[in-house]
Amino acid sequence: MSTQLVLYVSPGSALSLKARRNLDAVLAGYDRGVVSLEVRDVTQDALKAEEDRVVFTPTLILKGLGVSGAWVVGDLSDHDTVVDLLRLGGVERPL
Amino acid sequence: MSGSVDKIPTTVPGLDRLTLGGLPVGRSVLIVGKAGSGKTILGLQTAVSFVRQGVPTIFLCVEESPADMVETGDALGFDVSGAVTSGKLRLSDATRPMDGPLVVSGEYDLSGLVHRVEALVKATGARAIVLDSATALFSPQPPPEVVRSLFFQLVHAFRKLELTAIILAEAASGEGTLTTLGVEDYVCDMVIVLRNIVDGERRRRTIEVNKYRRSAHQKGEYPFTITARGISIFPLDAGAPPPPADAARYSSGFSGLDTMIMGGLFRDSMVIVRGPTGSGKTLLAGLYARAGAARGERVIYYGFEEPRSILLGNYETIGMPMAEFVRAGNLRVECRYPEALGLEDLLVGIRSGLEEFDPALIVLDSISSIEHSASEKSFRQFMIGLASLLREHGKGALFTQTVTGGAAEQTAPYLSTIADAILALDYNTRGYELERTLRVLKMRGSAHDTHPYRLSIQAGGLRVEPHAIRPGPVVRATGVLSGLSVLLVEDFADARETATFVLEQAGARVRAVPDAAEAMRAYRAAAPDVIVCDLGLPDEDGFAFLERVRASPGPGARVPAVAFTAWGQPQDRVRGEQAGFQHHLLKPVEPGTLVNTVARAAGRAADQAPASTRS
Repeated sequence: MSTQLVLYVSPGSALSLKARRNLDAVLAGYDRGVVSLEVRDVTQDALKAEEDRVVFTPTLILKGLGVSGAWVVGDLSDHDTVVDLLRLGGVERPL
Repeated sequence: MSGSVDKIPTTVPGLDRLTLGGLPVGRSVLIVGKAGSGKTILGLQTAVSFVRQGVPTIFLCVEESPADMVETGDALGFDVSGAVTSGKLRLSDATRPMDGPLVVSGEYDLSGLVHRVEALVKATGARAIVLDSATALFSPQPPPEVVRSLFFQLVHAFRKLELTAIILAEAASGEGTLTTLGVEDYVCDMVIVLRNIVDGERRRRTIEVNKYRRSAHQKGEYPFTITARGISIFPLDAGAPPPPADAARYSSGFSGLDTMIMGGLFRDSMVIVRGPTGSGKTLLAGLYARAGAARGERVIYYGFEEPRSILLGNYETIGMPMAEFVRAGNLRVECRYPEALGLEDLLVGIRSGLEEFDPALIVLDSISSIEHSASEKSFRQFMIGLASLLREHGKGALFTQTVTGGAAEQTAPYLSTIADAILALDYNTRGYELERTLRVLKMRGSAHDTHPYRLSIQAGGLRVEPHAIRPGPVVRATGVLSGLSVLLVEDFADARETATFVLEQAGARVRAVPDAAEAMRAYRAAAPDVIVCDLGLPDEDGFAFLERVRASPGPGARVPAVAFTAWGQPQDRVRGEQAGFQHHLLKPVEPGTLVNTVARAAGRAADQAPASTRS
């Protein structure tokens, strides 16, 4: 079972760039076969953003963690947030 | 203040009167209220109205899911599901995900929502948006500077998209800021505040337009209610212009009163009939209602003083049966106890009565019962709301009001402002008799007789008798009656005093008495030169009195006598002549006519040409 991460970003947003950079750093240690990442531009994927009830950007949604998902709002400057959510969902960083 | 703001009506009953036309097109409107104050209902009602006006609208659901909003709206009869199906109303889900944790890590902005709205506007052509609510959107609440910047971002985006935006927000508990977020009102062009006050045992809702950039608006709090059909506001601008001078008049149902007000009440005017208990207010209200019904108009009579069966029974007893009009369907009699009903609910009932039954006239008997069931403030709001409602619908109304003593001064100024006509009923106790009076205190836009008239209650209604002396030129102290002794018999104190004054001015010595028994004593004590005698007296009538005088021994029995009366029928004159009256003066009379008639009766030459002779 894989965990799917979806990061909603806005074009031309410094916070969104920062979130991508932070997320890349966090995920560097994970097996990308277990943890996948999709980045969605809210201007391109507005309907999907609506489905996912995205209000703020950047927003990271963690799907496939058991039955529930998790929403992280912000530029992910606190790396441990994502690591902890993955761990709670049973996904450990192998390294 | 300029009228340059482009406005879109909300069609929420009463609201467009407060905002003088509606909400500012392409601008943001903040609706502030506590939980349960009706914000969401107002937002939804307005959204559906926009859709009906052909304006596609987005409703951003942050507090409740779109499914819940559809249910809420449909239950209120807004047909939200129909609006959604038509594609003109788009409910967009922005509720917080509840199926997992939401964690904040670092900084963020509202671009996600803004882009969603942009996409929706592109897809639906939306020109309006409702955000329910800003408070829920920023929960848990970020630091104030973050909220401020995010909110500005949102309002700016709405503005750029040329959306008429309605933003709902939770009211703050304390003083200081309007909302819990404390920033929204600065960036919105208009702020509407909803309040929910517990007043005694009742809930009282008010709405206030707190701010409207570049537009005038009605200031202050206005009562509103949430009915099965949504929000209904009662604008208070009851001080409507007076009726035009050529306005149609109609009978008050009481011909004597019609005479006093120069032909009848104006169409669509509001009349307050005030007086103490037992002064005849309900009778007058009944005459008014029956006259309307008899003309074939529709009338609603709201009775707050007794149950319907008793009210109808009382009218039956005094010879004013209502049953035929009730049966014919043009008189509706509704009796209720205002205590059992909030004032807003009562107003709503009256409004729906006006809309469904479309009466020409309504009667409220009495507004004092309503007054006693509420605080002064909510009664004031009720009355002004009611007046405004009646003006809006162009209806005539009669309100009875119970007052005790000093009736003219007792009423709050706003009631006098509301009323186009004010009638005062009163009585004085004189021995075993009640002396009733009716006085027209006010009749907007019309001449009227300001003097009290004597009122009598009789089978089938009321009767008035004019005051004895018509206002006229002051009688010069000519001395035409100089040296004459006059016995004046008049039971109506006001008339007695005025006539005494007029006769004394002309030089007469006047002995004034209120009834036949005293008149007889006075006559026996000193026979007068002239008797001036009212015909309707409390003990025996003037005919009987004069017959006894004529039958008494001595030369005094041939004393000249003037009947001074409101009884003007030919048979009254004939009876007067038979009883021995030489002159018959029909009230009201000019002062000069009274003096001249007495002079002629005494065999003196009159020295004043009366303006009109009614003798």
